[in-house]
Amino acid sequence: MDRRRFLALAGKSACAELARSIGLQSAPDNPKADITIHISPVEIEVAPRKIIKTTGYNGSAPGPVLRWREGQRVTVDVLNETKIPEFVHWHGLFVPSDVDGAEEEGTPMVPPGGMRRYSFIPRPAGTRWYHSHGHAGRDVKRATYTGQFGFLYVEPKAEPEQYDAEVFFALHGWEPHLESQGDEGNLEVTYSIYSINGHALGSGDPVRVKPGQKVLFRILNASATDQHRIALPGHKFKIVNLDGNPVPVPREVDVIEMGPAERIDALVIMNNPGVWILGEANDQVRNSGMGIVVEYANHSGDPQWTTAANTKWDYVIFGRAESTPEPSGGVVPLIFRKKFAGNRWVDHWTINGKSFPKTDPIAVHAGDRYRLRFDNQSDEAHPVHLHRHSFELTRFAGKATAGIMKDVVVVPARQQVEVDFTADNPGPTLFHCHQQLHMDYGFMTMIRYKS
Amino acid sequence: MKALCFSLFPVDGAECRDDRAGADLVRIIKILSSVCAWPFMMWLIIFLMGRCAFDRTIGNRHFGNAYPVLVLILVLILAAPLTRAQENYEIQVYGSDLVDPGHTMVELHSNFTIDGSKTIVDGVYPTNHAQHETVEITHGFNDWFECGFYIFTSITEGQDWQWVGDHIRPRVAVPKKWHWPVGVSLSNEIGYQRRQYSVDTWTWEIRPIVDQKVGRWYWALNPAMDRSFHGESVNQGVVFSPNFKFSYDFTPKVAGGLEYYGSVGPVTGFDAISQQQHQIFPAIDLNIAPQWEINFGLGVGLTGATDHLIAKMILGYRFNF
Repeated sequence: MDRRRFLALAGKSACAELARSIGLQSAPDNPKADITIHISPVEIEVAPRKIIKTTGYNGSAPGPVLRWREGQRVTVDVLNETKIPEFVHWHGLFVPSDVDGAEEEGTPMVPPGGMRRYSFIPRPAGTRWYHSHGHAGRDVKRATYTGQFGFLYVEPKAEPEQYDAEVFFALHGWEPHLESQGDEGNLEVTYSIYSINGHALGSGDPVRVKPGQKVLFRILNASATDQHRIALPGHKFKIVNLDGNPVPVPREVDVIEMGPAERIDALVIMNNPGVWILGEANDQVRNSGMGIVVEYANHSGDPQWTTAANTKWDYVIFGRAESTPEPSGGVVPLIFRKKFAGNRWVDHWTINGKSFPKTDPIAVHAGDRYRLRFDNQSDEAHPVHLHRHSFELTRFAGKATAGIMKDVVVVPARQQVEVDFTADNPGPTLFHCHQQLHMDYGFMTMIRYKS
Repeated sequence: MKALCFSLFPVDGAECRDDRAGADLVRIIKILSSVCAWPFMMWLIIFLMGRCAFDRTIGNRHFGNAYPVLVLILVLILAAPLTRAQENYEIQVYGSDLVDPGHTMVELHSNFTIDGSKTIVDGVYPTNHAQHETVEITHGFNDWFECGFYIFTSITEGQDWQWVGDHIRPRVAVPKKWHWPVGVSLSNEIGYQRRQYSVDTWTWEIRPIVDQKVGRWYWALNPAMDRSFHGESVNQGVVFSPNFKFSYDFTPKVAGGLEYYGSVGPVTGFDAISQQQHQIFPAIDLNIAPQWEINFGLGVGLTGATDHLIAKMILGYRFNF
């Protein structure tokens, strides 16, 4: 090796190391990624003359629907064209910690003005999603309050469900602001306008269907904080997947209830011709935009809405009614409590008496199976999420169940929920409430694999 | 704060004019219909304007962002014939929060002077053992404007329950959506009170309000300016009356702290300390439900010109009409 070549190689190596150190990864061995995601400021017209300035993916909010084959490695370049560090979390995928998109797990950030390459094998198949995993705190213009979310569908080798049409619906609230209930009370997030797929009810194109069609609605609650109840008057939803995973007992329901980050795949037989509103059961929220028109072919006129049935959502009707023996790894009790921080202020949250980052990590051995016993001792429901793993719902509000696989479960106020999971994906793993205001104020802990 | 304002003025031994409305309901109605007419009409006009404020349109004209200024100008124009004095009948440090748009807050201020002035002072009834009952009705119009209306009454020793006066209080605030680090508001309180209860019958108060919540702590500052437009204090000009409050949320339902009320004299030259008013209220706020407001406290006067001991209570309820 001559001196010139040595210096050239040394310089190249040093530059690469410098780039890595500041997060500006290039990809010399594979210059072209499968997809590039640009995180950038966007303006979306949720309703006529109602422009929302936010941050989105590839110039839109929600971002493009990504479809990947299960088990086939993908490479994603993420370019951060904003002024704050960002993380893209591949929600529901069993990926390594360093690409999962959570700072707490050790995923490097995508620096402002920088780029990071993610490479992983997407699995398991099903309806997943990708979203910002940043910290927002009281700045409700960041993280999941923004338009940084999109569907990620991991295609199985063979589709388990037969359908004529597939529709993706992402629910979201816009213009969030913190306000207290009444003059005093703790601060909560409220929204002035809502949308499905970035459009408020009455704007955007309707969903056009034909009589007799079997339509698969893949619905994502991409709200940072709110639960939603969705109905399509005159029709029933046959729930086939929860969080992208097939349920043991598909059943028909009138109303779907979803916590933040939950996904529901529901088949609807289009057997009631007309023009309908698919939307929030809550009138105020629906009238503020959370709805979309479903229009049968050769039908026109004002879309119809009838009051949704006031049914109570219960996961266990989709599971097998059987008890699951306590797993080998034992039971991990997790008590959720609210910690008063002052009226007109944001409350803090604790898991077993401590707020993140002071929460005690949950130690697990690779290969063992554990039961997490959630004891919600607060007056609010919590959509808790386990990263990089799925869990099986084994008990919900006193009722035993089996076979329902999820990665988010809403733990109702003052109730207990139990889930079993197998520690089969070593690496730091985050567990948290997916309500952004809760996770930002302490509702997180880590699962640590013992060597 | 009525009880404090009374003791501002020197004792001259003048007798009160026997002008009791007393139990004579007809007379009360007459008084109310004549004397309350201006403040009430102003409140009504502002109420109706405020209804238009939701779309910032009056008639066919669209005023856009100039609307707050227009409202203020109109309030001042309407107030001009009335602004001849100023006084205060409630014991409260204002926070910057307005009543929610479309909501109406009704408050009862009950103040009892346990130890106050015991003689007629410059034609004004003594404050000792006086019970003041004030009804405050405030309507929120939008996120930057509300308007309040006061009915002041008093039961003094040897007197029946008497109507004292009325004030109107339009108030603007920096909307929360601006996300200022502190809450900022500006209150204008204009109104009349009968001569037997104040040496000044027409008064105007401008009250800037700044407050902030930090965790469990809360503070509010009201550096108020009072002006008499009719009465014996007219020549005093603008009087500086600072109020301050801080409190701590002991629980979600109970906050406790201190409130300070002062009146130090004309801004052009403060009174001697002995003539100034300074009063401290240890106070409790109860947050039993979002629609309720409950505050009570016990005030201790720090100077000879201040009533020595006052008990106060505020009971409020928010209606969503």
